[in-house]
Amino acid sequence: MTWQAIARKDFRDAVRSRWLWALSAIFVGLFAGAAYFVGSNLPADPQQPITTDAFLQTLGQLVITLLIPLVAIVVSYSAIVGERESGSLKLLLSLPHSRGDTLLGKAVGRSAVVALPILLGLVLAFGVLGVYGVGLKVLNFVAFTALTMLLGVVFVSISVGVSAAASTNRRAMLGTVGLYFVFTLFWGQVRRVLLFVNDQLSLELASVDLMQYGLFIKFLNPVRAYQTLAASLYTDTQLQARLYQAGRLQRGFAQEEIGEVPFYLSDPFVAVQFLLWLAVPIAVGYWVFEQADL
Amino acid sequence: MAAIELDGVTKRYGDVVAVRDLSLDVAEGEVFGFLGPNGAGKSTTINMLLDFVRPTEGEVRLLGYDASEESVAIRERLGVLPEGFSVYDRLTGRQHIEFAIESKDADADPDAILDRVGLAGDGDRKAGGYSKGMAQRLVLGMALVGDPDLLILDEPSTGLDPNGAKQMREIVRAEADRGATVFFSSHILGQVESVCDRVGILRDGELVAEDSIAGLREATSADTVLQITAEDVPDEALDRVAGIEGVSEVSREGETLRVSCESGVKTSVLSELESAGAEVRDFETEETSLEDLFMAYTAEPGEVEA
Repeated sequence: MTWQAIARKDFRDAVRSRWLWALSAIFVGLFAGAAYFVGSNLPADPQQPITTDAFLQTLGQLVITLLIPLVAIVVSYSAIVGERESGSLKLLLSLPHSRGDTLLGKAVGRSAVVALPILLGLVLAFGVLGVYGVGLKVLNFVAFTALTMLLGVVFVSISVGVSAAASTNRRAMLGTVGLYFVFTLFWGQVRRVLLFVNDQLSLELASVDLMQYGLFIKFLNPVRAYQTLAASLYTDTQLQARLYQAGRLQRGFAQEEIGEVPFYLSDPFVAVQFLLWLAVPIAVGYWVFEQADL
Repeated sequence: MAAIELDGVTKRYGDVVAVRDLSLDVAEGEVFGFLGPNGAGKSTTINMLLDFVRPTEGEVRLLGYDASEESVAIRERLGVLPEGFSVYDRLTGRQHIEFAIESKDADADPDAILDRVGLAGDGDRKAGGYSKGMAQRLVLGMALVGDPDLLILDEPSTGLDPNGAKQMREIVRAEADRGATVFFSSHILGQVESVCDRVGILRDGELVAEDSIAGLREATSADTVLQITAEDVPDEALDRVAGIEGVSEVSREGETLRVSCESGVKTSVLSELESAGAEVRDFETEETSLEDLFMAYTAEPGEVEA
């Protein structure tokens, strides 16, 4: 097991290339800036005390879910195939590193490059919120920080997996950017497959079943899984967290019909799905990389 | 145990056969020169030794380990100067050596290694600014980390000036004296003869010769050619010269005689001519050059004469 040596080298390389500093500046600016915005616009009326949960709610949906996957992809899509094209991979693999260690070391190194600036930005944001007297819900904030770092790591894992499987830098870029658009914009189309299958096979599923299966497919997407897990930090029930994006009408219908969520929509189940995105892309990338002629 | 064993190794890329049914043994402690023109399959073979590519057929073993299944165990005892590598632009020379030391879990002094490969003053510079020759030295340094049992050097003299090539040969010799096996490839025979115990010549993916340099000379019947300028040479003198044991060919063109013979009989040839009444004014010997030898093996049959 020599992945630590590779992870360390990769991380130092990112420090030298100023990636780490640039990302830190971005996330500190963004998170601390948002915290400043929330803090400085506190309503004078103390009847409704604002807590850090409100900050999570505003930040946790659009900004983070568009930005962090993109940053992770840009940082890591060429992690392996870039070295393969330049020829420095030959130096790495002339030393006693297995291809598996190489993959793991790269994934860990790049994960640190993405996750540490996120951590820094959120810690500073927490400080800013505290200074303005926003009610601090520490545990929720810690959980949110961990989830958000994980979102970054998940997309590093996806990108490094693609990078290991791709034979050229260009393919790795197209592959990862394609996945980015699928996960952030076009996942709704994937859900339509369910309706299509229902239609074609005349399954005649009840609309409540369709809704639940639809949600299941929705949370196979790591971005949506992140969002609903983040939502569960400030909603009362699991169902509310699963319906974080639903309109009032849909929400009402679902609450009436579903009541308790089925196990495959429970928090632990969605969390496991989310965590599978850490392992599966790396495993698939490894499987291809291991057999490749370099 | 052989340091390198190739047994019936074939590598195909689609329809193209890069290496065909190659079998080769390199003994422990040997310095083996792997020769052939560019495109003969040398790098493909070396890439199979390093597990960068996998053979289509056949078995590759290094230091007794399977090249693919036990690649990491091999590389713990291996030093490699690969072909077509690039260095890490942002790391300094010393950091490259340190990475090799860390990876091999070795106990070595980076500065001593940089000094050994002639980069003593350049360790703190980023390797991105190195010339091709310096990068070559740097990676040789990485290969030397941890005193490997086997060194594989793919075209090690690429980009080196004559002085650098000489240093490279000295390092190869020193490593061999330490007991390491050295396997290196080259398309230039001249770099090889002074350091190799044995050479193998590859052509179009097939091993066409495998011997010591002296053995190769003998096998190609590469004689010395004596070029003699003489006056008054009677015809019978030619016959008598041709009759000397070790002389294979005699020809005459005006006052110039060309005698192909083993180098040991040169003086007999000259004294025979003189005793037959010829007046030898001048003579030169041409040894078959290594390049001729190499061409004899690597050129297509029929092309040799041209």
